[in-house]
Amino acid sequence: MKRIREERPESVEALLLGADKDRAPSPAARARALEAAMLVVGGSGGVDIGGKAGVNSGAGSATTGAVAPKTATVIAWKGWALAALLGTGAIAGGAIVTRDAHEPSPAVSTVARPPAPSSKQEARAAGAAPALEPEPPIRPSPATQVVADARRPPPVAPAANPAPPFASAPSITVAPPATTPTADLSGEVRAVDAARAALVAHDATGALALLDDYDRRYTSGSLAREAALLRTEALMAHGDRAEAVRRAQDLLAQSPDGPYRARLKKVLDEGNAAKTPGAFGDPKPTASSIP
Amino acid sequence: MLALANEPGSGGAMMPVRVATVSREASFRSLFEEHYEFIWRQLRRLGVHEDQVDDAAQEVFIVAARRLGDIREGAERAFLFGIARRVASDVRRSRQTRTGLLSVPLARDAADPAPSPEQDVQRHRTQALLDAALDDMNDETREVFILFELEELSRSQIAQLLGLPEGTVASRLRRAREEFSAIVNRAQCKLEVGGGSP
Repeated sequence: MKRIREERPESVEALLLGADKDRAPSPAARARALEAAMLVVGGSGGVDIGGKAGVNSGAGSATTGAVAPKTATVIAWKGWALAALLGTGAIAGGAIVTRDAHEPSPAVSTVARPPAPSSKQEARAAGAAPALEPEPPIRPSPATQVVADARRPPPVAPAANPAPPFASAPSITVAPPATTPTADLSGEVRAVDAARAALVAHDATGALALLDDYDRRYTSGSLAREAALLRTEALMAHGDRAEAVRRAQDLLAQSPDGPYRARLKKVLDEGNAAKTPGAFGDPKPTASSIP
Repeated sequence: MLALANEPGSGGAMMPVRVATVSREASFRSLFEEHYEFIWRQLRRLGVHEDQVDDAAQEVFIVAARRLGDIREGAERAFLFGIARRVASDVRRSRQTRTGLLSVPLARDAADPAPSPEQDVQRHRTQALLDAALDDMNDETREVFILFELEELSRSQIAQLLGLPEGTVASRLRRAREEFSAIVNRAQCKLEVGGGSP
């Protein structure tokens, strides 16, 4: 069986499929992922301190009626995109040549470097492992795994204790810093990455606690702006929209053309979009509070 | 980890743990180097939005790092793909419940610090339409479709990766191609009827 692009190279299907070819991860994202995962490999081997399986519908999921899988927005977008597509026949030729400038996270891109290879000759040693599980269950979210770095205790254990409603002054107890904060850039990267991962896993409470931990450890840290941005997103995901918007506006005012502009505007847009009675106001359930 | 710690020749009484750790790290690094881009691409094709795909790929490898001892030699890619399917499914599901932050596919274009050339914008649009079409596909057929049409794996490679009989792959692939064409045709019809306005 031939592939569509070989069989019907002039078809719309082939044209669409051809648009996939330029996509690739950014080196920064790659380095960040490697560093985060290596922490798990080189650390405790994965201590279960999170206990929340995979990504769930935690933060930001409580809006009634938001579950429709194919929204009008998507349909409209398709029509719009197809209009653009059909209106510009030049795409079919060599027009689509620009490599995807996948934008890395600016703060991390300059510091997240993979550690040097330690022992290539032993690279296949893990092959002696037992049976393959084709669809392994996803266990605790990356955030909680990343903070399982053996060098310091985890700042929060969301699964062990159901998260209380988040307050702007969190009551979570965090261990004091074990290292001198000023020069620990890789520690900063790990801390911010852990918060990001928690947010991706929709553990907004965990993300906020990790950001509190970051702020305590790294006063005026190199990634302070990234952390501040993440906090706005985490607050929004947690349902504390007013505070999220306030902080996002402050950050945007400080740096209106900065690299985080798009993400800050997303926070503001969501805050504005949700200003309808009943749409928000109550804290949303956290990842750890959802069964 | 236990299996590695007990490897023969791993040194004296104080050495096995260290050797095992080094070995785990080297093994994982090799796994990562070989498969990261593949997994990233599949996540994207499985419907993970571009602003989440980096994190999703990271999550896949963090899970893999924790389960390194469960990965059978020669089946690494299948193992990782299995994780990626789950992560993608979770990300898609959670994304569908979050409307505000996630429903502006062109926001990135509009907000890019550097102005996008026209062809770059067109490319983004085409990619977005491809994403939308893939997103409309059935999970089962989409997997086979992307692996064949985009990753350009053979049917036998797909069968191995998904743990399916080759005949099943072939039949799913036929259905997938019909489904994809139907989705594209429907979108074209909708455009013609609706005039293409968003």
